[in-house]
Amino acid sequence: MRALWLLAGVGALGCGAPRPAEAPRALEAPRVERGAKGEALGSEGRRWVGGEVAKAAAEGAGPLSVVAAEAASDGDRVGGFVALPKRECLLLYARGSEGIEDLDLFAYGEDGALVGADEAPDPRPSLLLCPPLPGRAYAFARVASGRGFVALGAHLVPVEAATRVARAFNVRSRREGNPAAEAWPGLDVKVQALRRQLGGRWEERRRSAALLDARSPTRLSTPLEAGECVAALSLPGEGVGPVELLALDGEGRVAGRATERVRDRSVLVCSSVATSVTFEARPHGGAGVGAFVFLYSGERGADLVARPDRIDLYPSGDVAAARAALAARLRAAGYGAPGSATLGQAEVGRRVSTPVALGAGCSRVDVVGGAPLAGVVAEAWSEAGALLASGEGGGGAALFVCAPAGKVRVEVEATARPGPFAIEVRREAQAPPALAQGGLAAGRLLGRFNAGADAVSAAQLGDLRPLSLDAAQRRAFDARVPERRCLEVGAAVGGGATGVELRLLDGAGGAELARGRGPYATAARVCAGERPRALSVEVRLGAGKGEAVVASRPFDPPAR
Amino acid sequence: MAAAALAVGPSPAAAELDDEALRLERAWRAAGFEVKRGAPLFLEQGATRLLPAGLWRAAGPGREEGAGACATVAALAVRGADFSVTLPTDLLPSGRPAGRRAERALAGLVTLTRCGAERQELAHAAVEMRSPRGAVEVLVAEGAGPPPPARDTLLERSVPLPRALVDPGRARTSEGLDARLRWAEERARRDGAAASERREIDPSDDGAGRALVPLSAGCHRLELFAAQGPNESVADVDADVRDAATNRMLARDRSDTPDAHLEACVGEATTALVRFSGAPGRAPLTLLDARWPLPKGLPEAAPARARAGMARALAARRVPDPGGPPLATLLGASGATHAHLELEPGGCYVAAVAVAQGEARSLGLAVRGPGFVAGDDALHGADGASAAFCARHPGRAQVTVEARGSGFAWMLALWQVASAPPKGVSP
Repeated sequence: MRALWLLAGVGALGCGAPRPAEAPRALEAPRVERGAKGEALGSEGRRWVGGEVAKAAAEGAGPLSVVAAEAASDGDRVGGFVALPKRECLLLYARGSEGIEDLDLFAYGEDGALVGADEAPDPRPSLLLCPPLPGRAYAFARVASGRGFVALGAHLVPVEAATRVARAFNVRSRREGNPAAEAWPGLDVKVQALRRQLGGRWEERRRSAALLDARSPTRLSTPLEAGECVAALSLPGEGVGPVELLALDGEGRVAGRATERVRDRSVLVCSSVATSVTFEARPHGGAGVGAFVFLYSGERGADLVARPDRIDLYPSGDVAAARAALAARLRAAGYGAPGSATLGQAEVGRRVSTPVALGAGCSRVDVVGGAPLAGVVAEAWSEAGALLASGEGGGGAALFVCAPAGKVRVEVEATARPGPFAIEVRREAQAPPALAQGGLAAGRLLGRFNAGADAVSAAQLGDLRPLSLDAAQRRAFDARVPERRCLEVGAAVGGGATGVELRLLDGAGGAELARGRGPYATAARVCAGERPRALSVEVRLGAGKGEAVVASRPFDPPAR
Repeated sequence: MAAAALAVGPSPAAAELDDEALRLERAWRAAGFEVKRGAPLFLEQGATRLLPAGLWRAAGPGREEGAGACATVAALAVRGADFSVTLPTDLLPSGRPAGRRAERALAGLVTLTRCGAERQELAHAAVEMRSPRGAVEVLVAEGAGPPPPARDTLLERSVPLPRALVDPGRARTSEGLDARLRWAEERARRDGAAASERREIDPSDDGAGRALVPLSAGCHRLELFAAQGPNESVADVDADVRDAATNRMLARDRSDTPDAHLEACVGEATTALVRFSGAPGRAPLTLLDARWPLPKGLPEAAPARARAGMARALAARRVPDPGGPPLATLLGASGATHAHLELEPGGCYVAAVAVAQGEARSLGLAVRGPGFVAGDDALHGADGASAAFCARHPGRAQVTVEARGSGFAWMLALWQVASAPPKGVSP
């Protein structure tokens, strides 16, 4: 297995290619916290670092803050706390009087983690620290040789000026002669290829190596600014099969997945509001190490990225565009055009109620949001006041209702930002009778199958089994995974029960292959190789008793 | 000096210490206390710094009662930091401390309250850093009594006391070696040890020594007992145990007690190197190895290192053996990584995270759900952290793993350990 250190901690300098041009911002001086001694000598400090101010300003840096200033000799340290910016970079440098022959410069986070260091053998150390950064650092200069007066200066630097400032201050980047890239053949070439595909200017802020194992997904999360996009590239190493790469929003909902049919996968995610995005990678087989590279567009990048495969965590276009995109996605799952559509305006903190007529059996009710809507919670209620289905999402929600013909009330609320929405109804015309009569459990089951990146219609479900379950008794039946295919088995319960657990066991040996557990619904997946695979499916409840529905759907494994 | 400049990997914005200090300051002010906050300290391992002067009024006549009678000091660092606040055991006539006793941080927090004349002890209070380095915020609240507990405000620091941090106190050396050994064996039996075994180790002339000890997969309590030395001198045996193959530290005891006490878990059979010093003479020491099996519910797919770290984290927090396999496992790397868990109302859960490969500078776990917060950090060089929580309401919990370091990987496992019958219907 390739050692993880090959890609250790690469790419934090964040001083890569500049972002698209933006209007210059007025920068303030960095906030520093000095002790009494440093405070008294602050003005003296300007004498020693003040000569650098003009150079910094000429390259676009903001005003100077003196972090610390003191007389020091061999081994002494001179330092103070400095607030680190969220959006800009921070230029830090230490300068000394004539007797200082060699100075080193360090910045540590509150937890003692190293944020940056310059230990080069000269008296003019400099650091350029770029986001993402912790909130505060303790920066200090250590006199390696000599005696005299030492001062630390700091300036905020716009990201777009980072390269120029780094050059002017001779900031040495670990990226120069990056050993990780050399140890991972072709990595930089692949990153360059992705840059070309994306177009425009992208800033690489993170490069990580992570363990990959078919038995356990690997996750990496990253913050995303409002209006920003991030492209994640995953490259499985030796011994690792093709990877399924998913993007999850800040609530852990699957927002989309990489669609390439190639071994190295990338996924592009954009957000109109500040949030976090998590990437989940799981190889189809094997175990080993994978490399991950994240490229960021910058805050206004989302306006400039026009790619059909981009995943928006929140709506970026109008309702009509969102409806068209949904229609295309649902067509692939066998759905037709919606039977009806109603328009509305969602608000934050207030529920908007819309009556919708549904036919007998199961229906898919989509709440489709358009910009500037952000965050949706939706519920479907019967005329008798029973909650039939609920859902949520960044830009919309899918509700699955299995009930007799009649009117339901669909309530919609925005959670982050108000905006327009449409309600579309599609009948699950080919729903098997057992599902159509399955009530609450059937609706939950359809919801569970649609929790992933793919839309799944009732027509795609097979081997439907209504089961009566109670916590004291386990129910089991056999299933079969066709050769070179995968099988997803789902189970859901109606009222009166909680904690549905599903285990997929090897039909021959009885070993557990996959398991799932959820409050009201769950699913688990198993794939077969060149031969069909016999399974034993076990279902049980955590507590209570109730009616359950179990179904399965075969699907193709990720491309090799 | 050394090589070239270095810029280290993205440090995710963790919970900011500055913000937490501000929250505590506001909470104590709201409770009617006069609060002052000193300039933050940044300390390297082994460094000791007196608390900033001028944060509280000196004790004196009229201060024993009423407003200002008590002063409470809170020293706050990141949750995983290991540091102590030391106070004088007694003051010499010169006003200097005769000795010091330490209040060790738990979840990065120490609070001390002194009232009346005892307030003068605080003038000699010092912070001593045991972690490699870190920042420490210091607040002082003055009022008629102690302010509300800091952990009521800093909920994320409300953690049960790890077993390894419970100060065992000075052992009863007067009872002799055999009595102490029998007492330790009896205690291991009461704690559910599967077996315990004695072996003798010879020290060198200076009271130090080392021995290779085979450890079976599981958790081990290794205790080193020394007999009384010449002239009835009392031992202060310090020891550490390492994986002999990798030299990775598994546990260390530097406490001021006669016998050394080490707790470590290994995910597979391992040859350990036990090193010790402080034996009073050349008489052989007795090593007692009490063993517990690994918890049954550890993920089968986990590397041995991660299984050991999870076992240690569960044991240190007195979290029960999850019994069955986890609901989910995740792998991750450095940074802040999020996972979400759909909660069963009435369900109780356990989460454990452990290093799977490489070395972490810090590793912590935070869980936030409707109506609850839970968290833990891998303290004092431990390889894992664990948290237990119960859901009173339906909803989603966010599990965040905060990991710092380069070139390492962690594994997270989530178990459901209890269910409750439903009270209502929720689609």
